[in-house]
Amino acid sequence: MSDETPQTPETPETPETPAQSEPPKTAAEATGSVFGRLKHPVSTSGAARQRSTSASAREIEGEVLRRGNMAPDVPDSVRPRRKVGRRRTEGTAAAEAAAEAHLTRPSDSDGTHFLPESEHGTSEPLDPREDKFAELLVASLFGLATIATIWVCIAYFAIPAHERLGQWMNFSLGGGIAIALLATGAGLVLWAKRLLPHDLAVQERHNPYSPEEEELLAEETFLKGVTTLGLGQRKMLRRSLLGVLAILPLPAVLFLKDMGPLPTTKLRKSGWKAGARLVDVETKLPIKLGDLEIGGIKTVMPEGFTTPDENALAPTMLIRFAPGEIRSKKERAWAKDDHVAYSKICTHAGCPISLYEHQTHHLLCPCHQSTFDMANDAKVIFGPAARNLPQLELDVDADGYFIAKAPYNQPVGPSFWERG
Amino acid sequence: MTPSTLAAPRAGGRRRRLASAMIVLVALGLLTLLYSVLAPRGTAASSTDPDLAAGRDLFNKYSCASCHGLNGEGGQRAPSLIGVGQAAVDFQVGTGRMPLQHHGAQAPRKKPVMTEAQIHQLAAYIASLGPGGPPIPDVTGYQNADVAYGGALFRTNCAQCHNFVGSGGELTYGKYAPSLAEATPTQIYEAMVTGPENMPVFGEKTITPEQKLAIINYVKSIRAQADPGGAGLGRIGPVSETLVGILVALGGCVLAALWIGTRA
Repeated sequence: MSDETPQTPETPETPETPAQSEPPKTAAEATGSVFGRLKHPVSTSGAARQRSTSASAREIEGEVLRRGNMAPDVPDSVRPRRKVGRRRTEGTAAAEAAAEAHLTRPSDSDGTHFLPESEHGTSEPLDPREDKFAELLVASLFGLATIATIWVCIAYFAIPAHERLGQWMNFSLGGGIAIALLATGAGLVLWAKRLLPHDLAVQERHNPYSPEEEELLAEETFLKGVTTLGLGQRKMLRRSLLGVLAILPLPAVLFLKDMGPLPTTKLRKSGWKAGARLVDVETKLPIKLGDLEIGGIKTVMPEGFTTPDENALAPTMLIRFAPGEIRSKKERAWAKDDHVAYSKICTHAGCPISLYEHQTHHLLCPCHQSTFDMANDAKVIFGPAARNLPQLELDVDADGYFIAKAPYNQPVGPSFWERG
Repeated sequence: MTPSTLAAPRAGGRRRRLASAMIVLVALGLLTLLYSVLAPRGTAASSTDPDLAAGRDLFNKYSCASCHGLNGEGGQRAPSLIGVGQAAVDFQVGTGRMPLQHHGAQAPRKKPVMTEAQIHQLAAYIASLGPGGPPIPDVTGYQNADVAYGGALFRTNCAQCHNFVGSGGELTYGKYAPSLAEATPTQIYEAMVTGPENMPVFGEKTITPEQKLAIINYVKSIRAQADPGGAGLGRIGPVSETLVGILVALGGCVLAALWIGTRA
């Protein structure tokens, strides 16, 4: 990001600093913007383990020293002129004296000091009309925010809440609050930018390392503590401590039992029995041979199922192929007149699958894009599914309705711990 | 094209010379008989119905035969049209999917090239190629069907591909289930009974006509609903809204903050 953004000059229109577009000579210039700092980082770690001000700070000091403005050890605060704002009373002796007083004022205790204006070159023609205009602009933004807020209050009562599913209400409230917040923020930013003095302050970073003596002392203290405990010699204490630490987490593991009953064999039962009729999941009506068109599908449940939730492993897809489309011998053996039935529960994470493409015979799971080839044993041809979908062996009873010849011969759905 | 269609006008225009006409008629009749025995599907346009003739003209004009074969028997690039029924033609041409501009993963919906009357003529011609296939359905009164029931049926049978409000979704290898936003009630019905492209077929016994009308009513009423936030964001649910919130709104705030920082 920093590469794309040109280094922003502090004040583009100043004629006093000729080399604005060049890399900053001082860290003060580099710290002018976020991107500037990214581009020309002010390094402190580079001067490893030197208990002194950073390289950049020393650079500033050197600069300052060369100009003879400040003493090297006591960086003075310098208050530059306001960029826009009250006109400086130039020429009077009192003003000269005041400026001189700024230069000699000592810095803050934390080392923060202002750079003189000539260092960062913020001097602009001072124009009271501009000042007035900026004030007006900020005030009107605050005014706009006020109007928007009042509008929100009125709209809350005036607009019917359910008109167009609440669309007008949402627009009025959301839009009004957005305008109010944006205008307030923009006003504050403009206030700071146009009306406040543009000082450049530098706060020096300190070396982040502890002195070597302190580190050694800490190490020594720790080792001394360990020795005093006597873990090396007192074997019984050491062993009993290890023992209690080992057994302490046991209750937390035991309490996991309260998280619910164990599934026992529930995960192995899908709800299908031999001879169970296939019924429509919605109408609960049984399905006759010939009800489905070629290329048709249907979500079916075992007859007598209660709710889909209580039979979460039962949903099954009934698919009718065109004659000769089934490629797998085993699938053909379990099919009935080109009808096949497969579990609808994905073997990966248990999502119900029925995105079926009847030309390619792909069945796609919407959760993680596992793709099964339904004409070839529901083989996984893409995605994270662990196994082929289980097939339900089909038959037709005396009345011509589809029945399950046998229940699923394996647990359906995703893998589980005890599945083996 | 086939001898039989030529026979009718000729026989009508030559009443004065009865004998020769009779000879011609008998000869042509024999030819027709021979053709219908030899040709695999000779029943195509044995009627003089002007709709069929117009439909055949359309079939030729739009070069349907270049992919579907001279008699709609299908080819390497396109399926057979024999026995697909009028509903399939009305759907494919009425949604602009046919005539196909180029072969891709799937035919996109576009502006239809024929008028409704022309589509019906073409459908009549295709239907005359062979028996079978559903007729163009009648969806009058779908507005009175049970919307809630239609919603339940839609979520069971359709939502997995078309999304729960019919916004459409992706399938494998570039294929997709299209959005139902522009589909007319008749087209939705036709799609269900014919199973265009990779869509499974939902015949009248799988989903009864009443159920189909309920589904249509659900789709049309849910598509007609306003979006409370103004933009539906594809109506793919809370995920899309969160994505916009995080990427667009929050990202925009961060970028704006950085920008303000550079200008300070």
